[in-house]
Amino acid sequence: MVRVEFTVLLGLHILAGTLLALISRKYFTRNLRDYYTTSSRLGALLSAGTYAATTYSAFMMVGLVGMTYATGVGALGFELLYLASTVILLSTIGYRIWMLSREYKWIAPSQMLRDLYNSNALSLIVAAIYLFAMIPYLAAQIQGLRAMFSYGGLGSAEATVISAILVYLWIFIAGMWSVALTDTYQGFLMLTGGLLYLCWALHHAPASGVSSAELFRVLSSNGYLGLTSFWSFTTFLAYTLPWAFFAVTNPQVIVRLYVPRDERAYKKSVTYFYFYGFLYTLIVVLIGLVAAGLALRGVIPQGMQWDSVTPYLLNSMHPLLGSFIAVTVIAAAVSTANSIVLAVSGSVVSLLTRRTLTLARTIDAVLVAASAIVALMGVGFIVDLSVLTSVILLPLAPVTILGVYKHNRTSKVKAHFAIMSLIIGVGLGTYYALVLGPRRAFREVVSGLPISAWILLVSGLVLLVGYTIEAIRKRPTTL
Amino acid sequence: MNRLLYRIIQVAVILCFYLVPYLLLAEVKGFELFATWIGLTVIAGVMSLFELWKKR
Repeated sequence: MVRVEFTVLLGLHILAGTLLALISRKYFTRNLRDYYTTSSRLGALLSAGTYAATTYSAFMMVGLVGMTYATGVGALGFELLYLASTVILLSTIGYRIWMLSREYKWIAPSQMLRDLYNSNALSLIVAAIYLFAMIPYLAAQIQGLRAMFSYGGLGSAEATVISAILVYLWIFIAGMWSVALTDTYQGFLMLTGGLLYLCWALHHAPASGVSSAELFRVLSSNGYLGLTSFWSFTTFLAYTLPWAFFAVTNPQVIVRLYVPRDERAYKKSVTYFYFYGFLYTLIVVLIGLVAAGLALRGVIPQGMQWDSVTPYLLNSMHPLLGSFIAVTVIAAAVSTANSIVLAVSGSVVSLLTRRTLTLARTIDAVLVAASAIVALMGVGFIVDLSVLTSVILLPLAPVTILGVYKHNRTSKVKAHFAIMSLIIGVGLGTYYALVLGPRRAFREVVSGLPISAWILLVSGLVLLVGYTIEAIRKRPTTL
Repeated sequence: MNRLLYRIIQVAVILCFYLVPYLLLAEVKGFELFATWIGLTVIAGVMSLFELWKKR
């Protein structure tokens, strides 16, 4: 049965977002650089808003809540390590990328790597890697919304179609302008939804006869405030490594380094993002801990699948509150999905000699349609591959970092070794995904290290060999 | 503070994310681990944002 509150709130959300997207059109100059990067004209608030909403997907309110419910405070370490490493990267290499983007006027990270290594082949391979890694991730975002639409009484076909239309519409209207403005609006919704969810959880506990002291006691005595058995060192490493380098591997966040209009806007946006991420992470983990405590006290079931915890709790709330929170989760997924589409499409368009807005919009549509079809068909392996997306992209970390810091000294040797390091790194990840299945590959330990660590080490080593060979070649010979 | 010192502290903070819990706080019963990770994130944020705002 369709839930009226959900339908009304979803309708209002779509209306509000579409109005904002239409308002943003007045800034859109209809050229491709504006379409993909607002021609670097965004202020601090929109730069931060789009970065935050793009980064933090439905995983937070669904996946992370469930992870904390099941595994305890270790989930906080996992998520905060991402934030700590990201703020470090944004304050160092991110600043450099922003400066260089103003000089080179990039529209996509693959184009950036082409210029840093002076290699067209490298940009082609990077664009191919983005397509390979990000379409499953996109499909997983769309498919993951099924639970929220199901709460609203809508089926998986309707969920997929509505999600896909929404993702495409807010890109189509004005590219990065409409995406950035709707992202900032959705980022505000996400935080509000999180706060309301937490307030409800903190109220629900005593209302169910579980005081704060009792919650603390039961979490403490069951080891949820320490490292539970789930969080072995290698598991913690497996989860955190891909996310530690997220800011320099995932195209949808790298392209957002190109958008701030000036130095002050860049610095302010990094600061705003840091505070937003900190607050949002704490809120979500606290919700998960309360849920864990309630489960241990028998108020809610124990042993639920991670992604089932939030849908279960939504059904325990007043329908208006539950519907609002469900809509904010949809907002989180849509804001991430349309940013990914735009970034991947930019990488494809930047390869072509004839680049038009119509072509860009067509590629966006193809990407959305492909992801929606994969999500609808429920092709398990492809959707599962999304778990490995950040692992598959990990080889881009050393390539990007060294490329940015050594960009004045390009050479064919470095470019060839960069290509080799990507092929070997991505190949390694794909091999284990095929042999073990993506979910098992993510946590598999080989000779004491998770596969993500091996991918980083091997691809980094190959790249360093290239840089070393180049350094030896360029060394002045004595007469 | 020079750049090298910033890097040393930033790398140390990230290493502490891994080492402190597994060497010292794995079986705590209170909010020590929670507070440690929050504290490390605050240090990473303050150091990095300070360095960023000093750049010209």
